[in-house]
Amino acid sequence: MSSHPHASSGDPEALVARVTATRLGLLHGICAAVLVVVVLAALLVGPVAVDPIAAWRAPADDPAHVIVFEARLPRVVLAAAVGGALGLGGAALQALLSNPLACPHVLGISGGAALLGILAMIAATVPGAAALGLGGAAGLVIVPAAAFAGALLTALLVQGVARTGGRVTPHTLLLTGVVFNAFAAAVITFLNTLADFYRAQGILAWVVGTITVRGTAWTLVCVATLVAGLVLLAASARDLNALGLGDEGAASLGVDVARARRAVYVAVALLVAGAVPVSGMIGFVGLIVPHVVRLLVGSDQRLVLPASMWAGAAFLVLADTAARTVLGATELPVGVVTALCGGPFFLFLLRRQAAQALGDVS
Amino acid sequence: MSEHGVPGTLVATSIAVRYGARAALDGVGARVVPGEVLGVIGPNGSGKSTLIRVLAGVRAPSSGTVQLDGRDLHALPRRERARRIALVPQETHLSFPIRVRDLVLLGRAPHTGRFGLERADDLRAAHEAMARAAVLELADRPVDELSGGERQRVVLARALAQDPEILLLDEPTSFLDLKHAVLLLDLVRELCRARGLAVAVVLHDLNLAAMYCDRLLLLDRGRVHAVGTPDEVLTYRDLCAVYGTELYVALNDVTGRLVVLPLSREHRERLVRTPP
Repeated sequence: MSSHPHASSGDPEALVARVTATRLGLLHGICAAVLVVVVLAALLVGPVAVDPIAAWRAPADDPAHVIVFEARLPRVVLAAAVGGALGLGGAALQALLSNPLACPHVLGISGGAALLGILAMIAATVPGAAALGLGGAAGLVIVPAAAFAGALLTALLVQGVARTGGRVTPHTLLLTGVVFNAFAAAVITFLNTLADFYRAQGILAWVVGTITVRGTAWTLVCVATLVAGLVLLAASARDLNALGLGDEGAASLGVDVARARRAVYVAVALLVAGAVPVSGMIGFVGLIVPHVVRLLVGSDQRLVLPASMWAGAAFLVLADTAARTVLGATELPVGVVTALCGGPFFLFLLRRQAAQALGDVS
Repeated sequence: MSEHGVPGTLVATSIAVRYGARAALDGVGARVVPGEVLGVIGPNGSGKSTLIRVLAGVRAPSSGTVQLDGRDLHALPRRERARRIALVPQETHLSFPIRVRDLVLLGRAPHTGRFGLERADDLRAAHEAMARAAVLELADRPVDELSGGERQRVVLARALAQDPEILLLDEPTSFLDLKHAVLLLDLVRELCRARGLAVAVVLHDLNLAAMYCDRLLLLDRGRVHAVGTPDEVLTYRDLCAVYGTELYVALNDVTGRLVVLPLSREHRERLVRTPP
């Protein structure tokens, strides 16, 4: 374009297609390549130094091979899937609500998913659950299903509470979400105390957010919900772009606004339902990542959504690597790392938004 | 000509819109006809914007029907409706920064598939719309850096990119100075003439309405007070009654159209002492 400064005067080709199938493919390819590099780097980092080439060539029972492929790889892959879900979910909610402070965590959706997810998990571990068909592999279905229900119900509840006179005020929405999250965290902590003798371990880790490798099947569930959420949201990107003109502007472009909103909430609930059972309530990933992505690719949701997924994956892999290494042998919950990055960032956004609102008024 | 008029005719019949107990519109009828500019005028709160929203299909009436070529507008698939009717709102708020070309391309949304990938004819249509609205040279500018006049022309280009048969505008000139208001309405009138677009436009300024519209619909507290040519509608008696103030109505001998001017209290009192 820049080489043809006068091209716009008559040549329709000057209006280059911003988003084509080829370009979308290219975006996914480049992002995936970057993620692979980040993942490889993360595999090398840990309390024990390993020579990657040696680990690759070593037999399956060699300590280096075990460390890289059995200890680190499952965790790094899971962190990538969870991060992708959170980044994508945050981008979708920010677009849907036209609010740069929205994300699954701030809106209480993660909290709702964790709450029902944990109840399902306790139900699956009480003595006799197996006899009822709730134990073992059934948990793979009922825990994410309960988390999905919790996420969707919370989205509805928070919207309902924040709605006054047919309008949803953005700040009330966020405040309601934050309060609900705190409430969910308190209930989970309470349940943890009660459920201790049922051997429901590690529940507290849910509240802060920890990458918890439960096994290949759980990781696959997380990846599957991520793919489903991505497809659903990619099919909603056109509508989300139109929603940037407001509900009425979108409606005049033929968007069924109510249906678009439902589709996005279902997609976000799917993403969260896959991520929460293996990571708990990790905050700030969905908040920060879309901002950085928009700086790079602009505000077209057809690009922002997939790019936020890949960037979220890379970010959480890095954050989790920091979480398991900075204190040496002692591990930090990854939610602490993301909160340390995200807290100040959130305040910065809040200040900037307040300044802009003031500018609009004057 | 069928019983529904020329193809591309939008007909509203007995429209009522109620917000709770308050009726914004009550028994309003309107016809938007190809090749004709219909001006919707009336005081604040008379229901002008509500009528345009109902005609555009973005607001469902409490009762009454809107028909496009004899088909009920609200039974029409939304995307088909958006390919035939475009709406230019009074103001366009953008929640994220966007460049002119991307905003205009958004007008192609009702034509693109589920994943919203643009094809060559979408780009051509957007290009042509930008050319018609004289915003081609703004293509790469961020929308929030534009002046009010440029911005409204860009929003018009976005509407034209929809390739509509019917163009509806809600007070498109209320934030524009005289020059930019006239530029925009010149453009709208030209499109109506050259492409046979059916146009309905809400206008606050009665002089612009008199100059640019083929027919006027005067609304008063949600009801049609008068409908007809500007000469028929812009009468001293009707305007004074509807707007609730003394006005000066005269013929502009340059345009041959009526001009309507408000009068200050001082002049109103002088008028009472020496009746015209």
